[in-house]
Parts: sequence; structure tokens; C-alpha cells
Amino acid sequence: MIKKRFLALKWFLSGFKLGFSICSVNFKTRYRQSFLGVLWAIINPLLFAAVFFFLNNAGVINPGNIDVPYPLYTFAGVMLWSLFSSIITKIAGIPVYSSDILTLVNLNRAALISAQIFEPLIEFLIKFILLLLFSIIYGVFPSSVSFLLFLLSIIPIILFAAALGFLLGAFSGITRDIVKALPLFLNLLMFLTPVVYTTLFRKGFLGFVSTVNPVSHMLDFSRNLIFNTSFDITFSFVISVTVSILFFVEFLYLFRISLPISVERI
Amino acid sequence: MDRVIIDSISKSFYSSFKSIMIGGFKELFSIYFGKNILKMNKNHVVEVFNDFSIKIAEGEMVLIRGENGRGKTTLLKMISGIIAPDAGKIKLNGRCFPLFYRGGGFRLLLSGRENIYFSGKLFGLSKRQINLIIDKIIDFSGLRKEIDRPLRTYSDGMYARLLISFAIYSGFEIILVDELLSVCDKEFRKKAFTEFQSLLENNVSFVIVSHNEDSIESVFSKIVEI
Repeated sequence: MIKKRFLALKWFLSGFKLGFSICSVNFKTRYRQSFLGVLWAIINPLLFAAVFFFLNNAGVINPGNIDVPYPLYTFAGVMLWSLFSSIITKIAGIPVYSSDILTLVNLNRAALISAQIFEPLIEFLIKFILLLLFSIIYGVFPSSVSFLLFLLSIIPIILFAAALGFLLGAFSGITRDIVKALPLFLNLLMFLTPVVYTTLFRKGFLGFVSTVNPVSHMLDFSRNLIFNTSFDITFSFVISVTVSILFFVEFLYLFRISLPISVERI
Repeated sequence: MDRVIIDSISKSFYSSFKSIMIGGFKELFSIYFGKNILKMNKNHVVEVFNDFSIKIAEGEMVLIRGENGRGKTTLLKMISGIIAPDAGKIKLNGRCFPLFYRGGGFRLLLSGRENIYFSGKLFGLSKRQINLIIDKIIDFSGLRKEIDRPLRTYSDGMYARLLISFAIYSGFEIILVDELLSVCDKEFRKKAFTEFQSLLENNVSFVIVSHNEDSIESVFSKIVEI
């Protein structure tokens, strides 16, 4: 049983090199027929953060007590959430949206997973540079240690997102319900995760969901790091990271065995 | 030496969307929980192959002939490892390149030249290896003028010419051709077959599936009806 999981991990790592080539081609072709090109990678989170900024200014929403300017706080949250949701969507969609390559080329299929992780990661780094510029404008200066720790802290988020992507992707090739329901599920999950409000804002059902939702702890931990607001490694955070690693290994195995079944059904 | 050994393979497919989905869940869970794969309900399956065997030696060109829906493409997909047989074994001695309609992993938004590099990477060629063959591929395809145009502006025939040219010069030992030649014009078909002949002398093996290659039967060392 452990050997099969280990082999699945080895298989996953074997796809990195080709995955990078696929990712660079995906990136190139995605923005090829567009005037704004790669700017689209930052337009979406900027607009999203702007909406919540205006709602906050108008007093429509109350994000709780935060120590950094709200636009920065929201942009950082949306940036981390985009990384999380893009990875889930892209991996879960592999059996559906990569059907041409899966059914016509016998390539190392692990490369498709790597490609779908690298792409949101590159977009994340573009947004991260933008966040640093905004931070300087707002007079918030993260230390170089915060930078490094922040970049490390996104690893559990990536693992958890990939794990959920594997779980959903294992079934998306068999039934199309998964890819149809996923955007709805992610929208709901976003509002149940402290992306545009703080975890200190814990009341009723939202507070409960925020406590049991592993993404809440990981996202909050990363965001606090970049703004130097806290470096508390809470028990909930440790549990969330452990769950992410275990889920990643288990669901990677499930996804691997599901691919041949999915390919026959495309 | 045998390049392709197909030993008693069987393959069935589900025949309705409902059985595709339910059967998929059953298969996935039975593999995950380490049980034998649950047998399909015979009422919901179409049997494509049952105990099918064939050996293809190096330097041999085999024609697999049959009506539409007899499993010709399925056979090529099993040989290339894209799908697995339900039972039996397939062994390859050499690297295999499948030539399917609109295949090769080509991307419509890339140019012909970019696609050669991209497909090369998908099939395990280095940039240096591709640099050595790219001019031969372009010249053979007869697409020198169009090579930097996006692939989406190519006709089916042009796409096929680029793909076949890529297969010819990429150094694969086994080339599988799925009705692709019928998309190309007569002149290119003739040129491709002449080149295939010289590859046969270099011990490359071909499996060509078609339902209308009667006119050139003489070039095949074996014809298999399915």
C-alpha cells in the first residue's frame, strides 16, 4: 500500500521537466490572441479586490479588525485564493480539458499535473510582485525573512489544492458533473474562507466553518507572514499542513489510477 | 526481432453513457481497494477484440483492414499505450509514434515550426535533436512558406503532412498510421510511401490501419482483416 503511494509520488516528480515545457506553451498560447496579454493575470484579482475595497469603504461589509490597509489585505487574500482555486480547477479539469493530448499522445501524464500547477504558480509570482509594489505605496515594508517564509508558506496551500484537484479529477473523467459543479463549489468555499475578512471575525456558522476549514489557517498564516503581523504556528495550522500532505499523497495515487479509466471515457 | 508482440488481447467498451459512468466508478473503486476489476454487465458492453494476437517484425509494414467501428484505431491506441487492453499483453521493442488524425499533440495557436519543437519535447526529443531534423521535416512536408503560420490556418491535409514528416525524421522504430494518409493529396501519399520504404530498410516497422488501401496492397508484408 505504501509502495504504491511512493511510486505515485515518484511518477509525479518524473513529470516536472516536460510539465514545464507544456506550461510554457500553455502560457504562450493563452495570451497569444489577446491585446492585453499577460496583464489578464493581474486584472482579475485587481478588480476583485477593488470591489471589496469599495464595499468596505461604503460600509457594506465589515472585515473585522486588521492591522494593514484593507486593499492590501484583500489583494493578498485574493492572490492566495486564486492560486488555491486555479490549481484545483486545472487539475480537476485534466481529464476533460486535456482530452486531445490524453487520447492521441502517449506522454508521461504526470507532466500534465506539473503543468497545471506551474501555470497558476507563475501567475501568482506576477501578482506577488504587484503586491510588493502596493505594499511600498502603502508604506508597509515586509522584511526579507518574511518574503522567504511567505514563499515557503504557500507550499501547503499548493499541496492541499492539488490534493482536492486529484480527488475531483479522479471522477471528472467519468462524470462531467464535477467540472460543472466545481466553480459553484469554489465560489461558496471562497466566502466561507477568510479571503476578504479576518479569521478574528468568528461568529456563528461562519466562525465554525472558518475553524474547520484547513484553507483558512494556511491562508491566514501566509498573509500574516507577508505583513509581519504575526508568526504564530498554531495547532490548527500544523493540523492543516499535515492533512494537506496526507491528502496529497493519497489522492495523487487515486488520480493516477483513475487516468487510464478516464482516457477510455473521453 | 519482433518490434510489436500482441498476445491474446481483449477489449470491450461500455455502450451507453449510464454504463460508462457506473462502470467507471466500479472500476476505479475496485482498483483503489485492491479488488479484482468488477466484470462488466454483458448487456452494456461492445466487444471489440477477443483473444487477438499478432507479431510485427522489424522492417515490416502491416496493414490492418476493416470496416468502420471494428476497432482499428483502438488497436493503434493500445499498441501506443494510450489505452490498455482488458486482458492479454502488448510488448514493444522500440519507441513508438502514433499518427492519428489531428494528433501529435500539436497546438492550433502555435506555428508549424513551434509545433515541431513542442511535439518533439512531448515525444522525448531534445532541442538539439530537433534542430538537426527540423529543416528536413519542413522540406519534406512542403510547407516551407507556411511553417511560421499558426496551425489553425492549416488545412487537414497540411496538418497531416507536417505530422507525417515529423514522424519520418524523428527516429522512431515503430510508426502507427491511422487513416491519416487518406487526408493527404495523391502526390504526398506517394512521396510518404517511398520514404516509408526506405525506413523499412532501416528496420522501422509500420502498422497502418485503413479501410481503403487496396490500391497499394503490394507494399504491405502482411494484411490483417479485423
